[in-house]
Amino acid sequence: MGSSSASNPGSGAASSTPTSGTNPPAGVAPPALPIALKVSFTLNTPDGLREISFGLEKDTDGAKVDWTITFTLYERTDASKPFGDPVVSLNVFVAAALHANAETAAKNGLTPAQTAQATGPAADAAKAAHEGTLPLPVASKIIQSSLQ
Amino acid sequence: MRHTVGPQLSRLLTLLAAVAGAVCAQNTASPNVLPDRNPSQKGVLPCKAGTDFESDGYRIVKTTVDDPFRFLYWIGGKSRSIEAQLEAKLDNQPFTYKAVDADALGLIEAAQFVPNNGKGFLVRIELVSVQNCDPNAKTLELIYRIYSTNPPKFLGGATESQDTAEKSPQTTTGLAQSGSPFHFTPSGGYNRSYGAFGGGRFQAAPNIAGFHLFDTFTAEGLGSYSMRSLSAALSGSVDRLGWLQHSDWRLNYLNSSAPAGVARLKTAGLSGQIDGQTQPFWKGTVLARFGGLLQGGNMQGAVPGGLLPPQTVSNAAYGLLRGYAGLSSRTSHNVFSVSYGLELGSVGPSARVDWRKHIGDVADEFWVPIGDHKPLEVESRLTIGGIQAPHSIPLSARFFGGNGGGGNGEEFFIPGDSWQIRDAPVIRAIPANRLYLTGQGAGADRFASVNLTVAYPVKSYPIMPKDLSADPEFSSLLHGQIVTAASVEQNYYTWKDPNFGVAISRLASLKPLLDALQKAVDAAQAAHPNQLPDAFADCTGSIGMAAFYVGDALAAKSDAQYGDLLRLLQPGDPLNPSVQDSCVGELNQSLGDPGIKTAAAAFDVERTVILNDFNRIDQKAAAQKAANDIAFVNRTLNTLFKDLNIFSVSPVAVFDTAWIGPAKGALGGNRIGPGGGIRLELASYVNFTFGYAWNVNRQPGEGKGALFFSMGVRDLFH
Repeated sequence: MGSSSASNPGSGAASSTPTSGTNPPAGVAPPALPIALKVSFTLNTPDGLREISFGLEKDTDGAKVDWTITFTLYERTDASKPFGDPVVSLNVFVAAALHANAETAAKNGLTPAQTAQATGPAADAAKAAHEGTLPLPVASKIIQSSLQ
Repeated sequence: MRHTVGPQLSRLLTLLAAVAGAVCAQNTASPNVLPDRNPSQKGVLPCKAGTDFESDGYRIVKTTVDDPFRFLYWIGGKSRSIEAQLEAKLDNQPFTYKAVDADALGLIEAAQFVPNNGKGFLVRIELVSVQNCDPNAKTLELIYRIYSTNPPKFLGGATESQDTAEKSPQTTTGLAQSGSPFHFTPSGGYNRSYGAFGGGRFQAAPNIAGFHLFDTFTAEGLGSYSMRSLSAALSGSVDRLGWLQHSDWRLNYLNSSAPAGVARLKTAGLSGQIDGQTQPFWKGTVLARFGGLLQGGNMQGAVPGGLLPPQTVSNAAYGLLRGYAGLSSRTSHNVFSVSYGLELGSVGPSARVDWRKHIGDVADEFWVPIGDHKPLEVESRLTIGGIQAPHSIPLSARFFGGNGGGGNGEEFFIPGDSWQIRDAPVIRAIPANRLYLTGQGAGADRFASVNLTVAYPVKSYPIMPKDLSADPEFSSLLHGQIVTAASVEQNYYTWKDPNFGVAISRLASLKPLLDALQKAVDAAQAAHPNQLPDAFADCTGSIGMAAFYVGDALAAKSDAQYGDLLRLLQPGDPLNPSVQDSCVGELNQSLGDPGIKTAAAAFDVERTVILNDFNRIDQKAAAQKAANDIAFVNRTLNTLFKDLNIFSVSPVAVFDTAWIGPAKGALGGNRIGPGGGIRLELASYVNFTFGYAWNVNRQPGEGKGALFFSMGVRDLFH
């Protein structure tokens, strides 16, 4: 089981502001103001040997927004046995340049190309980084490519 | 047998009263079965975007956890526990982003609200919001909105899946409690033929992974002073991607005895059946189903002399073969099924066809939203049947109508819940099996019936709170996850495309070419020390990345191969430039090394060949198949969120007409039965329908009408 994180220098820059909480018309209760959201999609492969969880998390402190990819991979060799601990559990801060893509992916869903990247190369890169066969910054780039 | 109260009637009514009490008590401080769906928001202050609530010194005064499935007690318990923990940690504390975001969400996720069944996909959405921000008092309230779903890809046929969504929304969303493999569901009912009857269904479905021929055992029984119906079944199923999406099979034993006017009908039989369901087609709106059943046993029919129709035997060993096929459709506010069944039967140990039975059944249900979560529901059903008996037929195999099951103890043509083909005339104004006297005696050889039910909820509580269903952010997030699911399916079908197989078969040839290119780059770097270090590093990085994708694609055995090959062939990613961009466009543009040029060209030629194969993949077909796959799930979930209620009280109007033949004078012919009643549904807990229908053109010996009453109670083991 591994848990690691990779930060991107560009991630700290302000990129957008949260959803507006403007005053509603008279008589209508104002909507709640979102300050954080997290969506995650967990896929069980048809052979039952792999479970991949790809999540997007948006946080704000009022002035700036941060996006994080959460990535968890479970593997087993026998589909009749429980997965146990995750093979990889990785948090990747999303580069500021990809914040708009992250917002789109969270709200509109991942495209086929994005899901292909997430369930194929990104999963393999996360595992390789955990095993030490791929540098973490390279794995981080591959995982972030899921938002391209 | 569907109409279902019995020996446990008083206990069930006690449960109902308890549940109703909980519903009525929802505004009290005690734990509620139903959350407040539309909390009052009078005097709520807006929260200004861009505010840093932490540095501005805000204090949390209230914390709420909002989960639409809180009415399910196993989720409600966790939800209330989490809410209590968050209140203890956050209420009256200074607002900090760490505490309200990462710490709180960590606590929520650790609770694992949704069971992961290890199949298909699981979606989780968590939304943290602030409201009622008082800039003077520096106070605010926190709302945690949680939604999880793990929908089964196979949701059964259209009309049956709608019934499941209404009575057991947790099944549709994959939130059924996954601990105990045992389930017991009491049921009961009343009609004048049987009196008050009761019983239940026991199901054992061990949580076993992998494929097993039989994975579920079901035993079901109903009884009263005058009837009994017992069945036991072993069943299994498999879901797959492809034209045949779902298949199930069942070994079933049935034993029943029921009165039919002056007659008594008994059946005992063992059957084996296998059914299949295709992938949806016609833009994901229609699916086809088909199957077959082989059955043998005994039928006995005690009937006074003179009432036995020609070519009909009272008691007989029998064997029969049934084949059936149908289409089902589901659109946004309509579900529809049409089914045809053919039965070939023989009396005694004979290969001869002694009788043939034809059944046609058309069911439709549509609902029109009139007001928020107040759908006008219209259910209609047309069933016709005919028997040809060139030799002989057991009495119990003929048609017996009324407001209960068929005379043979089965209301439907095939056992099980996933596909319900009605095979007897139904008219709620006449007690079970009492529409049966024809010009030839007891039991009809042809029939037609039309049943219409209209219901409108006068009081309802939506499953999805209005705050949540009307929240564009939340709706968008949910929709996005369904899109992701469709994308995953599309990749699977792309991976299955034969052209993908051709492309992947050539992939091994790229590895030595990448190695050769790396050697050329190494040689060039040795020949040009300290020159273009960044360009050399980028080129080497791109070759390494390409080798990584090639290696992973060759090692993978599943649709993960598609992602590796896609990224290798169509990089288009500024974070990960291609070999051509880095080594030829960037490095060799400045270096002009002939070794790199030759090796890169050789790699590009082979890559182009593979790319051409890859580009022949029928992406449009894959996208359509994926859209079809996900369409039924998507529409069912949409209905659940936008139209369905966890609690509703609805007046019901019914209209039935049934005809049996051959008619002669007052015997056989047409009956008309209008009526009305009330329906109460408390999703996942209890539902019942109570009413009365009049037999407008009743004939001698028939009553003025009949009560109809059915009741279903939640699984008592959960």
